Amino acid sequence: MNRTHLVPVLRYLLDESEFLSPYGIRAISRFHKDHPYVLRVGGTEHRVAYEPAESSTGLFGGNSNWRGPVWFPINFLLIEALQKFHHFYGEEFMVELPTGSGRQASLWEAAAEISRRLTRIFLRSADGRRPVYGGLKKFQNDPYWCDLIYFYEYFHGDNGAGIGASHQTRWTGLVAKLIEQSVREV
Amino acid sequence: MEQSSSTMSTLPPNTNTSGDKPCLACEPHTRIMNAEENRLEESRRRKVHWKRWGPYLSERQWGTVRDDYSPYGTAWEFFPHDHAGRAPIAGGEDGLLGICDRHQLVCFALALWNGRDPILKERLFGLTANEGNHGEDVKEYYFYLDSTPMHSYMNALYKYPQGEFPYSQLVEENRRRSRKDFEYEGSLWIASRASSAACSGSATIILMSGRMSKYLKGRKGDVVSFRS
Repeated sequence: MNRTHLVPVLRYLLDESEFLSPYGIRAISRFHKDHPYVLRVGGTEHRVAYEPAESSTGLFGGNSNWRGPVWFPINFLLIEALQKFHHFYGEEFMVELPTGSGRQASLWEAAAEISRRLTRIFLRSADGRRPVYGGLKKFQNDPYWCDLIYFYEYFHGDNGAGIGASHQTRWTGLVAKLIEQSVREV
Repeated sequence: MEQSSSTMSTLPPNTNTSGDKPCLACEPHTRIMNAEENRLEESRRRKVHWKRWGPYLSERQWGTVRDDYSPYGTAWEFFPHDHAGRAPIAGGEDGLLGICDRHQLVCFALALWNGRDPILKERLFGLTANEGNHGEDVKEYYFYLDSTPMHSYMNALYKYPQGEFPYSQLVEENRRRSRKDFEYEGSLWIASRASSAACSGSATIILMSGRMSKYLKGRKGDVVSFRS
C-alpha cells in the first residue's frame, strides 16, 4: 500500500463513527450497524451487520465474534504497520486524528493513540470503573476483586467490556508490550 | 551464581523504528544488566537451564481434541470435565495452578476440598463446546498475579467457594440460554457471598529453575508455601 491508498484507508480506520472505538479498532465498521452489508447469491440473501458484543451465530464455535468487537491481535498488527509506514514516510506525512477533528498527527502518533485506547480497556476511568469489567459489580466495586485483571479474548466494540474466554493471556497480554513502549516514549 | 560472571553485555543495536525519537532502553548500546536479565541471557545461550521448571502444566486437558477417541468424530464432546477425575488422560496432564518440568514428567498441582463438594477441586471446571450457549468455556475464577521471567517466583489466586461449587447449576443454566443471551459464568455464587475473601486460596510458589536440588538443600521449607 502506498501513500495514495493509505490516506483514504486511514480516513475510515481513524473515524470514530466507523472503525475507531474508544478502546481500539473495531473488526467491522460501526457504519454497518444501520447499513448491513447484503449479498445475494443464488436467490439467498446473506448479510453482515456490526455486532459489537457476543456472537449471534455458531461460527468459530459460537464463542468468537469477528463482526464488530475489538481484537488485540489485529490491533497490534495495525500498530506495527503504522509504525513501519512512519519509519518510511517520516514526520511530514500527517493524517487527521480522529477523522473530522481537524487535528493533524503523524502515523507514529496515530499508532500511539490506538495503543492508548487499547490500554484504557484495563485502566480505571475518571468514574473509577474499569471498562473491561462493564456491568460486573463484583469486579468493579469489591475490594477483594477490583484489582484482579482478566485478559479477555476480545472486547465490546462500543464500551470495551471483556467478552469470550477470560484467560486469553497470549494475544491480549500484548497490552504489556504496548505499555512498555508507551513508557519508553516518555 | 558462578555462571553469572558477566554483568556487562552488548544489547542488539537500536531496533526501534521511531525514526529520530530516542529509545531510552536501547541507548546507549551498552548498559548494566540486572540479575534476571542475566539469567535470560544465560538461558538463551543454553549455559544454564533456568527454564526447566515453570507453569507449563495445562489448565485443562478435558474437552480438547487431543483425547478424542470417538467413533463418529464428536471430538469436543468425547472427554468432558466429568470424565477427567475418573479416567486417565492420554494426551497430557492438567491441574490447578500447576507447575512441571518442561517435559511434563514431574507435575505439581493443588487439590482443594471445601468439605461440601462431591469431588476434589483438582482442575478447572467448565463446559464443552455444545454445553455452553457461547461454546466451550471454563467457569472458574482464577488469576495469575505475578511472575518473574524465569518463574523463580510466581503468584496466583484461585477463588474456591466455601459453599458447594455450583457444578450442576452451571450446566443447567447454560443449557437453558440461547445464543442471543449472555454467557452464564456462575456469577450467582460470587454475588451471594458477602465476604469473598473468605472463599479464596492464594498460592505463592518459589522455586529455582534449573538448580532446584541445590536450592532445596540450602533452603528447605521456603520452596513451596501455600496459604488459604
